Amino acid sequence: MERIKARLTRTSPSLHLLLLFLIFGAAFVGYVAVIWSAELRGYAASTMVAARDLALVIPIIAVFLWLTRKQRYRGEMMMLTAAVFLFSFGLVIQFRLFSDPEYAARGAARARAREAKAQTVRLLNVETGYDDEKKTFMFGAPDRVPQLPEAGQLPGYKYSLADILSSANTYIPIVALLAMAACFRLFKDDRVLLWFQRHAMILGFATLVPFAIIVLSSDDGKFFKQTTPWEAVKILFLLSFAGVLADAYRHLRLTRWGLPPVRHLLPFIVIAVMPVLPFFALSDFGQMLVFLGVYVMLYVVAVRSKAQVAYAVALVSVLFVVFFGATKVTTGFGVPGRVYFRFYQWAHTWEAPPPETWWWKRDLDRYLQAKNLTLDVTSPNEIKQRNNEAWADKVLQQSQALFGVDEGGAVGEGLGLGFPETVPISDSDFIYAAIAEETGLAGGLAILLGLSVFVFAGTAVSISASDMFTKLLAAGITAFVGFQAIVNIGGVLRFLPMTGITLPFVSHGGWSLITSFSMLGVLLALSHRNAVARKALEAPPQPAFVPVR
Amino acid sequence: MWVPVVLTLIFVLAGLLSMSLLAWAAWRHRNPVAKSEDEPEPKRFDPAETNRWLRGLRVSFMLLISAVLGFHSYWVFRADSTNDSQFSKAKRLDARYLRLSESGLKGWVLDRSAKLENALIRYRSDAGVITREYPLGAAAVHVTGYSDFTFGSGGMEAAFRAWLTEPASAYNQLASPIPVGKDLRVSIDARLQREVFGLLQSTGKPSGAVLLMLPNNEVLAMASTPSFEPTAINDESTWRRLSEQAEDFMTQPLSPLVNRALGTLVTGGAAFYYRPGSTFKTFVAAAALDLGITGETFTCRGEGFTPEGSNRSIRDFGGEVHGSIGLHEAFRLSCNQYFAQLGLKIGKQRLANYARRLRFATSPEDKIAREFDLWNVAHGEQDQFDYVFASPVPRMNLSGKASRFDVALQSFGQGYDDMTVMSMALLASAAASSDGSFVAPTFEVGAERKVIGPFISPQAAAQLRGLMRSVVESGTASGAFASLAGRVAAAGKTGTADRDVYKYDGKGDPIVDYVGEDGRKRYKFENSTDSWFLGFAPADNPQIAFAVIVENGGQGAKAAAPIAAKLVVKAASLGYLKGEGVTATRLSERR
Repeated sequence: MERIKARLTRTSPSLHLLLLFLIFGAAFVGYVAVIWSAELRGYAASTMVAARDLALVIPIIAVFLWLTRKQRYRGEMMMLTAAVFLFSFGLVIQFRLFSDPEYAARGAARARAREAKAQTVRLLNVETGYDDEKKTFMFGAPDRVPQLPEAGQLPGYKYSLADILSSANTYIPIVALLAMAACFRLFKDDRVLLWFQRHAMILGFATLVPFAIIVLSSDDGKFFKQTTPWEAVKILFLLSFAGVLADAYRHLRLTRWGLPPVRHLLPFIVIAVMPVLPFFALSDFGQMLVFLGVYVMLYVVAVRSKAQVAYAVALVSVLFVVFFGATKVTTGFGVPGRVYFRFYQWAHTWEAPPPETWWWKRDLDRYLQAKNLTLDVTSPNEIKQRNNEAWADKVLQQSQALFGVDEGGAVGEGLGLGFPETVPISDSDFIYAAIAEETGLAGGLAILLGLSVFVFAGTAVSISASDMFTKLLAAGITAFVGFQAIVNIGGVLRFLPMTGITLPFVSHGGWSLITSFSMLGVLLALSHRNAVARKALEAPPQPAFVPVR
Repeated sequence: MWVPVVLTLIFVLAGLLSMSLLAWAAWRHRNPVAKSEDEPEPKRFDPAETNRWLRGLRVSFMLLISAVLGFHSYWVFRADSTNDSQFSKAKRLDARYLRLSESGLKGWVLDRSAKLENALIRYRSDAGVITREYPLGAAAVHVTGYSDFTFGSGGMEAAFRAWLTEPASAYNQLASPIPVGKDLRVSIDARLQREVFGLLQSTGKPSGAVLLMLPNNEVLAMASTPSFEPTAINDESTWRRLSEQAEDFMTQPLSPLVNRALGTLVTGGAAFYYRPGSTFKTFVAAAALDLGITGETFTCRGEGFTPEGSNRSIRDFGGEVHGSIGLHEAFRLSCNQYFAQLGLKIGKQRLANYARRLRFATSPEDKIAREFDLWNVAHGEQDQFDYVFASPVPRMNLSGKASRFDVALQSFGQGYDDMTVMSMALLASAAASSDGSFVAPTFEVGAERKVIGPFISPQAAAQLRGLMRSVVESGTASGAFASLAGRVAAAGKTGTADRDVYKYDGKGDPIVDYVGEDGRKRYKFENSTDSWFLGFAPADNPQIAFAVIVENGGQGAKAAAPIAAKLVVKAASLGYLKGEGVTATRLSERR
């Protein structure tokens, strides 16, 4: 024991407590900004909701204290602080979006909400921007300009205390924090980890069966009141994969001609393909992409065979070439048209595909039907124009998001002062566009810094872990959050094709938030385990008997 | 408005600060396990062996995040930096533009009197509900345009959008998220505009007119019928019907969205031409006068004039025979055979020279669709303006492929001549200007005169004015202008143009003749005799220039000339004909 002088260093928990207060102090300023600009734009943002959001600092601090005091947490806090920052930033943006009556409204109600906002702005402008001549011309006399409505009379959502308390937005973050605490408690226990590692294969199959049933009975990727309960399944799949890989990696490293033995590779492929199938059935290609990315990454890290990496790169390139070759073929080898659409949208956002393209024709027809338009097939001009219109409608979300990013500039339009309501559903998949528009590159940089810290600290947990299973589990969780964030933000910014997955901790969501916080709990538990293990190694031998004086 | 902006800055900076602090701390602790010196090398299959790869993973994540940040910076700083990038073009469809322009108060558009009660576009209040109003309605909709949350804007609303949404007052800009836009005074005279529109409407036929004020070619009035109310856009089904007609407007020229004075659509884009007929003789006469070909006499025969290498002959309207005549008589009586021969005498090359001075396309190979950068625009952005108001480029065919017969036809405004009402008004204005130069039209009041270039010499211009004056005094238009005798001396040229147009059924759809082998529809045609008049007034000291067309109105003297006469009377009553003369204004050459 004497010769191991390794020491585990960590940041001080008091620094994190300070940062948590700083984060919520900043959020408070953000909420004031949103409420203020809402009044200028002609709607009332609910202070009750703002207070509720800010009050979430209480359970967060409570969990923090529970960790440090009750659980004698010894690990690194950075992941928690970074996650809380991302979460609170996301809450501010969601508050801004959902306060706007126009954002959630559809159809005629949307137009009415927009007009109501415009009238307030116009009155404000008459009051502050028109001279007496124009006021007299419009209203008869300068002092007969109508009064601006009081803040209480502005349109907006009114909530009672009961509404707030029973709202999903109140209990989901609390459930997420509880899930995090539960995961921490569970995974800091060696026996639990050992059990999971031993039963990894069975766990994978046991997860797949109910998941498959839910997926098959679901309606268009949504289940029971528009929820996606299988989000949480991700952790179980990750556990089983890490368990199997931790067992098999020694064998997979023994290669002939750079290839692993088939006997050990086969079960491994089975466990790797398992999560892909249901997500394929759900056409949730974003999750598929993230899972495959994480699995490949874990395999590379565990087996670390350069030859196999070369083989994998070659295989992926071949698949890619085949995929792009298949775009020329009308059938597409069973690859869904949606994938083609996403790739095409990524490569040429503002160029409509030819109207006869197989994966686009149906959407075009649907558009024409919805608009009640008939296409004169004899007029090439009309076909081209309708095709362009339909395409512009189809890529509206992506192109509006990019226009918003451009408008946002370096420091943004100001919270509540941009137009993220022109990006449909910008609270989940496209929340980064709203962030970029209203807080600019600076806000985006803050989010990316938060993510960097999370990944940095997460990999540190993995590096300091002493056994392969926890190493892979920590790396897997970190990579999962990191990949998901990059795939999401990259999709908004046209760095990658848009895939429709959420930004972890930031996006509005039920199960995805709970899952993200649970993963965080596991990561904290592993960090704690590492620290405790190191401490045991470092500790000087205790005297067997301490005499009482 | 500045308060939430500052608060947002604090919010973002505090967030950045906390995350930078955390990142710094993370960097300090990048190696969680401090290695001791005597630690043994990891054994084979020791989990610690992977740490190097995990660090590699960490580095690749950081690279990916930097790439994402790079993409973000690209969209912020680079994407919109050039005007013709795909992104900038697509951005014209950004829904935010409509939010910004329609949610607040845009600038008012005032006519040249700058009085609020004469405003072309203004706001009104109905019990506190403020809406944008177009007091002239259908009479000026092709000029003022319209604006709407869903369908965007057209006319001046689109052309001057940049100006009308530019913040007008600093205080208001600090107070309001969508500041008040700047007002704009344009050269249109609301009273004259109403009058012109009323005159055109009284014909009951599709028609258009442009009235320019010399010497700067400020547009005093520009009207087109049939027209529509700007409020039509508020009703989705009405607007859809209108724009569907307009989309296919080469076959459906009945659409009220067509601005007949410019040959454009009020929504922006597209090209629409007229045959200029005898008014085009002004152009050929101008060329002849400038070249000094004034003494020629040609014979006008009953059997017509047959150019060399052609078997078709050119005759005059109604088979009239003028005998052997000179330029002055031929212009006064509008003799087709004379001008056919004069055009051939001048020759293709020299005609093309003069055509290019007026920025006409002279060959089918000239593929410029619209006259961008012609208009003199001082407020707002030229490309936004041109998108709405740039007319199609007037065309002739004086290329090597054009036969002598083609040239002869074009010399009196038939054949390949494709003109717009605006281009003919500009021709009249060039004739009326004392220096014979081609001046850009403008909606700006008191803007500097933008001379595109010389058209003919001042002497030739003076001679041409003499020719045009004789048309009104004793020529083809003398009947229409008889009532003005003694009061105002005007000058001009009549025109009667034959054009093939689509034949329509009762519902306004073109009648299909047959469907061709390629699946395209072929439509039935009929002949339309368009009535033209271009001119200026007063004849000896021109102050205004104008061009009028009445589709299928018959001879120029019957439909268009009487409208022009009434228009001159109205302009005189409003005091537009009392100028000090064209030379009094400081002339400045641009370009």
